Amino acid sequence: MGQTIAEKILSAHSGTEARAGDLVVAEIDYLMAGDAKGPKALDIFREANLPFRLDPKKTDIIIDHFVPAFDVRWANDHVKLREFASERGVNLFDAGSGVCHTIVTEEGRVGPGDLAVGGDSHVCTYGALNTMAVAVESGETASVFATGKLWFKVPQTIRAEFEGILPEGNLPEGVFAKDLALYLAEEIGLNGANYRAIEYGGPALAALSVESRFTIANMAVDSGAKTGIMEADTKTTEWARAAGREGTPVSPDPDAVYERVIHLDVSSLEPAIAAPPTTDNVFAVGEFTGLPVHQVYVGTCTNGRLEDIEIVARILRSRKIAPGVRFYIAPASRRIQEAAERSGAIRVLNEAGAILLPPSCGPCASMTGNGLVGDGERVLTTANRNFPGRLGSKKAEIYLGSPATAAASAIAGQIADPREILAETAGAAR
Amino acid sequence: MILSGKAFRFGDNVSTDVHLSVKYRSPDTTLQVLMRDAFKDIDPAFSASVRQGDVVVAGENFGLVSSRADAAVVLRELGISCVLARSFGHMFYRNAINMGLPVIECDTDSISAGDKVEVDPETGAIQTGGGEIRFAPYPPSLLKIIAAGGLIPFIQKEGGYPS
Repeated sequence: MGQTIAEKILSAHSGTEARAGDLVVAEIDYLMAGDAKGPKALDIFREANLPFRLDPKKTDIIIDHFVPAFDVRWANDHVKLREFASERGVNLFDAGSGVCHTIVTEEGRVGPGDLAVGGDSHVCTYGALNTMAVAVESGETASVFATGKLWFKVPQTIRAEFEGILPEGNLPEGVFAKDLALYLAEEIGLNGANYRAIEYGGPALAALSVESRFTIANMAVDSGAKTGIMEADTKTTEWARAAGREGTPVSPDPDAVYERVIHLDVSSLEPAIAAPPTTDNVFAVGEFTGLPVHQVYVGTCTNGRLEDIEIVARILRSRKIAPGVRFYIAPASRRIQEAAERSGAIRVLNEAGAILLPPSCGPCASMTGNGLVGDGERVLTTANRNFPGRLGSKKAEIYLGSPATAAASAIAGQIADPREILAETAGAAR
Repeated sequence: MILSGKAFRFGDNVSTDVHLSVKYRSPDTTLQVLMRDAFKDIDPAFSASVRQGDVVVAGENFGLVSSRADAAVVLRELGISCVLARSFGHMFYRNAINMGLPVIECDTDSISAGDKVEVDPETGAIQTGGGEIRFAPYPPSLLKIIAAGGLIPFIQKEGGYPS
């Protein structure tokens, strides 16, 4: 009986033949500790007087949520994290470096076949690189500092096949990875992947860039999944080699056992919107066009990459953000910001009236404290969560969409279908 | 280690918001208050009638939604010796073992409220009035985590996982 990617990675890291439902203890290749849950992990680690036995090269401290620190509490947490990094010889990505998951994947901290854990829900983003990455609690982070290992229940796997790619590997006009991620979230349902791994493959996935694949893997957890993992191909191995961690790609066996197989035909999709209150409440954008928006945000671990900023710049070129709309954009890393400066995208954003934020989580969760919205306001964001209160007031409405839909809506001052403006820009020189 | 007690029976999708409702919480809510209010919305008599060793038995998705470790601690402190369910919420399952509360995935359909239940995590057997239910036994390292009272006490005591 064959194995899924998750079963194979857990087998290789536990020295067992891991099958769904088994409990195993596995070697951890990488641990991400951030400024949201990291400080509590350090407290537990110190209070329990545990030894630090993890190879310091296998972990990073990343400061990205509370940037710039707007409360003494966060500033003190940051002091604690910096001291720990210095004491233990752990690499520190300090404020302004970017969003943790983007840094980890850009800097070659994980690669194909690796087993990673981290103190943030969206570590599953690494799955685009054929890495199995699982979110852990602060006590578990402390335990990994002490042992380099962690116990796992081997998950069942849901297989998602992206099919129906158009000629020359294109998605339908105006449709991007974010739209695919939202339609898949709708298909699986809010907790439909509880404790499962989602394994992604298919010709339409193969046609996507690695950057686009991060967007899809990122949202695995928003269907309740423990992790999301993609098959590796030459794009994956090229990314991993360039980033500096080649790893060992892991493929599923042809007779692997899946709990469920989902076939998503991308050929007839339209730009998508997830309406409040949940990420699986997904509709074609046409259902909501015309609804006024007050704040638009492009960025986050879901959609703050170079190709996201470039598509926004293409739409905003020679146009202006509508009066009454605050358009925030945060490149997901300093490296991305620099590339967007070189390409001229940043200048286009500034001329259009966008508000550029430092590479960080920015206004993604109200806990980050910046870019909050008030009662009765409506937000369109490229982030991954839209439950009431996520961005401040519980009386605000949060809609999710792609960077193209976000940019088109910022110009229109209302939720807009990006296809019209994309058609206009198609002939224009970049 | 044999875990034995009376079954408290719940259905499917008992989220941590039900067994540890946020509406009874404030920043200074104590563990005692959380224990008193456990399952209040679906079984008001629960916290008064539960005895050391008793077993919570549920259907699908027990402990869905929340990542609050309190949810497992409250049950452990009330004396619950283990939770049996057809399936668990991901974070609840992890938190429970990390806090020293055994959680076991098995077919719970034949267990009724008030049944006497005996669970052996080492052999993977549950004895009930109606017969035996089997489950995948815990591996030795997980048994040690449970015996030590949780993940951190386990590392303090054993120094780490057996190699």
